[in-house]
Amino acid sequence: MKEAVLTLADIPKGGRASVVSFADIPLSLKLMEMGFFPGTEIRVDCEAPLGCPVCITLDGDYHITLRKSEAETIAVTPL
Amino acid sequence: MKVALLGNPNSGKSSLFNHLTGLRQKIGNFPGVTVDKKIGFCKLKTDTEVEIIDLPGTYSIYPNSLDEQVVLEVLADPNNPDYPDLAVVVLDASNLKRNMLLFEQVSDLGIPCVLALNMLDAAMELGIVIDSFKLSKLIGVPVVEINAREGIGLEGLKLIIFQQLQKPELHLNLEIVDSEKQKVTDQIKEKFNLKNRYLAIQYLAQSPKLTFLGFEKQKELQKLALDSNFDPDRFQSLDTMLRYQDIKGTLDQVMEVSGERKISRTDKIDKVLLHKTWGYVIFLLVLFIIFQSVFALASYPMDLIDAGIGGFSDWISSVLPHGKITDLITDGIIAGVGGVLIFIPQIAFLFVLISILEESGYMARVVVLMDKLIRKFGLSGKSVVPLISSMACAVPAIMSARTIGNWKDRLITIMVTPLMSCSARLPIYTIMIALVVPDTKILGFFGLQGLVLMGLYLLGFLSALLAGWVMKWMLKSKERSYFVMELPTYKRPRWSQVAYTVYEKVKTFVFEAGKVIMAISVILWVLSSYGPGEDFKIAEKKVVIENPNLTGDKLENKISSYKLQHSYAGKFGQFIEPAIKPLGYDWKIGIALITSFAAREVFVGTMSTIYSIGADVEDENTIKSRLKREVNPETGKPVFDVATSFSLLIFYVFAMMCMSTLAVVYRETKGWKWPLIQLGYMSALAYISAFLVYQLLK
Repeated sequence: MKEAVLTLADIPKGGRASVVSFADIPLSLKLMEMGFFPGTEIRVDCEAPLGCPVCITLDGDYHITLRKSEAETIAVTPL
Repeated sequence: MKVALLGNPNSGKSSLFNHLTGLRQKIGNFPGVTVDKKIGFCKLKTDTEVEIIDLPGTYSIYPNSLDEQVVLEVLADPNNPDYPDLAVVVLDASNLKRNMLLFEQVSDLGIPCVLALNMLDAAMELGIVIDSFKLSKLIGVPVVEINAREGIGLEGLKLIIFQQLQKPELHLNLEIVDSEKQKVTDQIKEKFNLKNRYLAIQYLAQSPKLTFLGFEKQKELQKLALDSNFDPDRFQSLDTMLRYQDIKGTLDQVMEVSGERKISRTDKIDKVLLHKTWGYVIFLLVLFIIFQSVFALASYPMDLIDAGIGGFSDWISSVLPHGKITDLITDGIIAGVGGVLIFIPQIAFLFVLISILEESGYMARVVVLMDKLIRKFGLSGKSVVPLISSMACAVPAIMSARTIGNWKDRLITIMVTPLMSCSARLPIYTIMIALVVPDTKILGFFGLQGLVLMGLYLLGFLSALLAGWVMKWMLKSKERSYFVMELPTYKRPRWSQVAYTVYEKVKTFVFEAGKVIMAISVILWVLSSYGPGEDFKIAEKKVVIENPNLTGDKLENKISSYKLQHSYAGKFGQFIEPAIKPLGYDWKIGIALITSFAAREVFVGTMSTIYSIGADVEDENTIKSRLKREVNPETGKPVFDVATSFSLLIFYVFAMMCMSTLAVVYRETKGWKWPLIQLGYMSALAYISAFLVYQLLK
């Protein structure tokens, strides 16, 4: 059985996490340009009222929104 | 000398551009694509002027959308007419690490750079302190601190640009190039006569996006990549990682972040605006305010303009001698121009409000709020921006759909966007609503007319969703796309920017739409003042014989309407009357339908021209009063009763009557297929709905 990987989508509102790896290569290229790397610390700010998309803050005052399906491709460890 | 402005989205690039060039700028298109190209001129010293080109905002030289591709095509092609001698890279100091990536790539392409360090105040609030002098020394490229919003530090920037142009200094980080296939790179460098190895390797990595090379060369490069086992994705990822490592090494020496990370102002505002319930309540409230103010506030200047034009027309006809020429001026030209001028206040109001939404950063939050809701209808959250800006005009709105990466999402957005009520429909809505909806207040302060107007916009929006939902099932696509995007921090709108946008849009409306409306008004006047055959010539005699008791104005009136009926325009209208009678329209409205086919805003102008022919001279000459007194000769009731007026309203909600929109859809979808389908489905929708409305209300 495959071990369940914790992803960004599992982090509750207000939680902090650190990026471990990306499962979707083309998406990761775009995310890296925007400053998303293995090791980047993020904070989950809110989920849009219907649960998707998710809003997160990277270091500083830098806010990004992405869909839950996209968040599921990002493996993280909670901080 | 050419200087390009580059930077991440929301880094303050456009503000800097406006400050550097003042109002001496022109907007054109990049060849082959419809991306706006803004060019301006800037005096660096009394005797040195440079051309400044504002390139679209991008995170890197690896494009994800059509806008961003323009940046690559300019920077990767030294023969491009817009290829810059120098690039000013605008950096958001509060996100310096990410902003430096683009700079490193551009510099490695061999383009001398100047760094403009912007938003230091925002960085300060976050406890970030940057030693820009040390940064400049470390990377070997001049760094200038500026405040693009306020226009501070620009003299220094100009001086540095001047010096950099005289004696350029480059920052190079070619680690990535050295780690890659040297042999192939050198081969490409030689073959394409390139001076730079990083550029050569970009030819290998991004050949499908370098359309200026031509199909043959692109294919050749793709083969080279295959033969040498070159993986573009791996290369891009390595390129990005290595650069960030280098940037981090530099920034660790020049940047200090003090204290705990604070909850920023944007965080606090987002807590409310993206709240589960309040978010939507506020969004609806914002829309509501837009409609109420467009209707209520704009009505005062509109009444003034309407009265002014009426007065002017009366004055002209009293001063000039009676005759054909005077008629042409008052009934043709002034009536037509009046039909354009009167809508300036509403269009200006709408554009002011929409550009405030964009400027403040709220528009991006609306994308978040709406994504899940409208995804069911084949649209993406990003479709919200085209949909909302389409309330002003569908043409720029359809162009803004370019930020949607997925072709299917983008196509659906393009196809349904014209269903949103644009400002050209506003004149028709305004007139018709004013005719049949009483100006009463509900609950004390909601204007009933404003509510009906909002209802029409809502109808347009709902039908756009429905059309999207239908298309979602009809189109098949396996393409993947990404939603991920930046939420800009909230900012006070730059009023000069808002004013400039509004000025541009109103000017375009007056001159572009005005030209068409004016021409059609004159043609229409000719067509309705002359007619074929004997009937038209003997009009006067015939009417006098048939109505021996009539004299004075009443006789004049009768003759005029007899003439109109037998004129060329009258014949046209009567020809299509059988087709539009079920919708409640007579042949006069038919004429207006035909003339407004190219541009719907012509409708009101045409109506005002048609109904001013054969009108009492003493009567006040406003458009509304002309329509109001129009009586159906068969029934003796007003032509514009509730059924006909609402049928017209609904017709114009759905009808695709805009040549410019069809043309832009043709350009954006690269063919006639989609614009024709769009024209077809919207016309059918318009006809059927107007038919139902008329039959139900009759």
